[in-house]
Amino acid sequence: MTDLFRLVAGLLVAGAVIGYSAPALGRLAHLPTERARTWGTALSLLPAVAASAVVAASSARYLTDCATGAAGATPCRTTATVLDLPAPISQGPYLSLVLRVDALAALFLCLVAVFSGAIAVYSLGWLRGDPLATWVAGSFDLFVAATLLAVAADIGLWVIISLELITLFSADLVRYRGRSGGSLIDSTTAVRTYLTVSHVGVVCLLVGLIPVLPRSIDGLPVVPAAPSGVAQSVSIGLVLTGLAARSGLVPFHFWVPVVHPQLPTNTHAMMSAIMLKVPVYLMIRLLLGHRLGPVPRWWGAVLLLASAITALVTVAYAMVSKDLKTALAYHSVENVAIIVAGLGAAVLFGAAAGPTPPHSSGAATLALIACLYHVVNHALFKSLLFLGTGSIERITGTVHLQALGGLLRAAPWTGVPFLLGALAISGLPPLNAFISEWLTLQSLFGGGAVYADRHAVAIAALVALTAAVLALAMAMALTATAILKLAGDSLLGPSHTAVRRSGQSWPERAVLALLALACVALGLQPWLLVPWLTTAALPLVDGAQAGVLHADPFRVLVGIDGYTAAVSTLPLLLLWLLPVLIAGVAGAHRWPRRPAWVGGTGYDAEQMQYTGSAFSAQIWEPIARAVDHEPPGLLPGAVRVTSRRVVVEQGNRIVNRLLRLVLRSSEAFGARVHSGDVRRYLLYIGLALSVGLLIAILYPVATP
Amino acid sequence: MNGLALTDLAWATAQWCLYVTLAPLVSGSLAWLEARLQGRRGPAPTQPYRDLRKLLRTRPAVPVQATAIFRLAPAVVFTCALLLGAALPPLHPGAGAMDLLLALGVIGLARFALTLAAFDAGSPVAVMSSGRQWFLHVLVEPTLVIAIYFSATRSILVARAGGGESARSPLTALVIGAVGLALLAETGRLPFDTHGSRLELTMIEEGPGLDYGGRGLALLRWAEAMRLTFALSLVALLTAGGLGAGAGAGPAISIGAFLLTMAALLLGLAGFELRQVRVRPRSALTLLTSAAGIVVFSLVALVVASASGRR
Repeated sequence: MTDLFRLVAGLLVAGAVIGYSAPALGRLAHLPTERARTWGTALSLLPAVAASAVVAASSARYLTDCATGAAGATPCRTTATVLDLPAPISQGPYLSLVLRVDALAALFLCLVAVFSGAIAVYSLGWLRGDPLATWVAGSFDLFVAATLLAVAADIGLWVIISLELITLFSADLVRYRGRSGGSLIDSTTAVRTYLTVSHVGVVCLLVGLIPVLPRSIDGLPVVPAAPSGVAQSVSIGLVLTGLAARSGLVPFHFWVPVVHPQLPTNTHAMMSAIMLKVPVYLMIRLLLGHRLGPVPRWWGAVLLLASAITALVTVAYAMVSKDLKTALAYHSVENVAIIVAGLGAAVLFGAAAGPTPPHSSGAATLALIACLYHVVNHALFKSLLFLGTGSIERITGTVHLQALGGLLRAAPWTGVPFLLGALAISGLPPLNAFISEWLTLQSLFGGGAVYADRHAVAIAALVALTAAVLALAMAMALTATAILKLAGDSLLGPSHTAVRRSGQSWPERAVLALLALACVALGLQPWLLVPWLTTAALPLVDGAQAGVLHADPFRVLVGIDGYTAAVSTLPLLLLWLLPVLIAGVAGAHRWPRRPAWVGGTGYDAEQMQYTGSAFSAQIWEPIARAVDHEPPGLLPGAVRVTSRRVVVEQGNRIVNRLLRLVLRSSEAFGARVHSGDVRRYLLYIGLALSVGLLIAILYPVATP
Repeated sequence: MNGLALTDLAWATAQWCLYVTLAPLVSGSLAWLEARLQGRRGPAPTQPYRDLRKLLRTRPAVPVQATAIFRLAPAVVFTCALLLGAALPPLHPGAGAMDLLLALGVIGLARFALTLAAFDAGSPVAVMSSGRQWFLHVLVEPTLVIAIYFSATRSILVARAGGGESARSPLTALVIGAVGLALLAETGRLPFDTHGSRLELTMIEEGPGLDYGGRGLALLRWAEAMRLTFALSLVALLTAGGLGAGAGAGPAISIGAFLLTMAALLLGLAGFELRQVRVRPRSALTLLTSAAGIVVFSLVALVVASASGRR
């Protein structure tokens, strides 16, 4: 594994160096700027493609070995120290970089690698002609490297470091719109918001993890015993808060739509489809890996409630969003909520309850599998949608819904994959997301045994499960509506902007087509991924029952004791075949075209096309208000739906208020501490020195 | 394949075929009943068949700017309606049925396709009606999903308690009622206007297909009839299943119970539609949230009852 790490890290860093230095090198070699940029981008992205291919292939092989038991130990796990850093003080945190790969990590590594590879190939076409192409490519390489590191690193200081690296490199990319002629204020706001939220998240995570960070004793890592009682609750609470902040769960949903649209659209796909999954991965790792001790089951209820609220809130904002990127960013958070609901159900049903497996461990196994399944599916359809948005942006020059239209006719290579992605994200059969949302709901349904438990657990379960079932069902229907609005506005109807016919390059088309095909294939044959998912999920659940999910080419069968449900693949196939057959019999391709008329006059598309926001008016009207005085602040306090109506962004308003508070108090505090008086600074130096000495006395220097 | 499985398959196929062929008759009899209750003679119950035959002979026109979506949508809607038939609980116990969540997904897909077609054709009325339909759908879906959750929980709790609880519990009856209410909205039978009227602005169910004529319209009409039949027979079958389970009798009695319930439901629906002229779309909110509330209440009652039964 050490060699693999060196190869991948070397490739990605080399790619980044080429990307960053390409303009300068081109000037040295007297190459024309355009050529230097093209070559620099290609040479910077190709290592990323290669590294992704290597990681994807080796993690896929590892997963297959785990599934067949060829990897040796069960549950399979491989660790390797790839970077040896001696700890400066005894009993200090263990600093060496240890990679720890098990089936779960291999699954996520494979996911990151496959999609970053796809995005890199796509970018080869998408970045063509972009003045900032080499810089984007370079930062993208480092972004991928940091994401891979965050997944592969063993729980310890390096997880925190790699999360910070992710923040650093992706924040670099957030500056893109500002650098390429967009609004500088929006760009700065986005970068600041992103850094602040990420740091708050990392600080919470770090503080929560301190009790279990490995310490260096005689140069070896020693993991302290997991905390218990109140200390454990505080730890779990902090860890979950930190990870929720980074994945955008309510009340931290505000940063995603502010930050994400500022990214170049190709890396936006990376961020939404992949990066938001890293906190989810860490949640699974920390909660179900028993790193914080056996997790009390009511934490599952907390997660379920949080995801229920998040799903509803974010889908409502997605519905009133005015441009594709913001709307899809909100949908990403909504899907993260569905994923977290699966995880919450797993915890609630006792996946991490400790040595005595509860009655509902079958449902817990299924919930975790469903959670992982939706992780994969969401990565798939969301990268499809974002890359489609990227192409739409390239051929029309805008992502504003009102300026788009008619793309299905004008640009079928973009329109058709985008439409398939839209069907997928709505969770409708016969596309891929249906089966993972189905599994998530089935795992909630199958957990009835939880009611036979102690009363406190049963009551928490009743409240959380009912809320989650209602909210998820509603959110799924609302997603379909919101997506119809997007698709109707951008793909159908009259086109409002000129479409550049030559706008779409072959790498873009190929990647979009492949992703769309994958959505269709996984929708038709949902069992394809099940062996891998089961392998990844089983070792994490106490008392896991391997038989809860049976999948073969003909059906997917859920069997938890007392409850069974099945989806046969035949109806899914029929949903593709029969319409074509029926339309053929009805001669639909020969139906004659006639000019349309409305209310007795000829139809004028420009004047009469119903807009998507009018279409969804029945739903947003109850939450919209007449325009009110918007309190000033950094983040937008309301989304404007029409010229006279707004939907209040409560989260943003609260953040704005908090920011004002912090600014005011730090001004008052800073004036006192930072007074400019030399004696005061001497005092600070003295204090710092004594603290350092104190630490040195308490923790003697490690002997090599 | 053994003999028993073949019999099951034959029963299921027969039930599905009847569902497809008799669907227009169901919607025809509903219209006929309504007319009779109003004292009109009304069209014969078989009128939908004649309409379908007439429509199937003509080719529809396609708006100039429309894409292939407009041509494909009726076929998709029709396919979805066909598949719904497989989700009905079998009259003959032992035959399997399609998963109900999948059925919900299929209903959603039909709606999705038709709304896309409405956007495609560009007609404002069609898109507006679709928007109203989705508003209702968003409210209906949680009710139906939580009802499925109720039945799952019931089966698990009954299995854990060692079985024995009869399906004829009052809670189940409540849930079936709430599901019926939700399905009423889902099939566009909440009367926002007198149902016989053909005023564009008030049409919710017919609106999205407004741009279709000929074969396209025939497919949509037939699919709509099938969806109505699905909703009615789902409620009827669940009720008949509850009644039949108590009697513990063979298919003859359950078929009889089913037919009786179906007739009662048709009559009740006709009466309801005539009495309840003009529900405002917003007031559907109250109706549907109370349906969801009933199911949630039943769920809580079920869990509490099973917990206290354990003591």
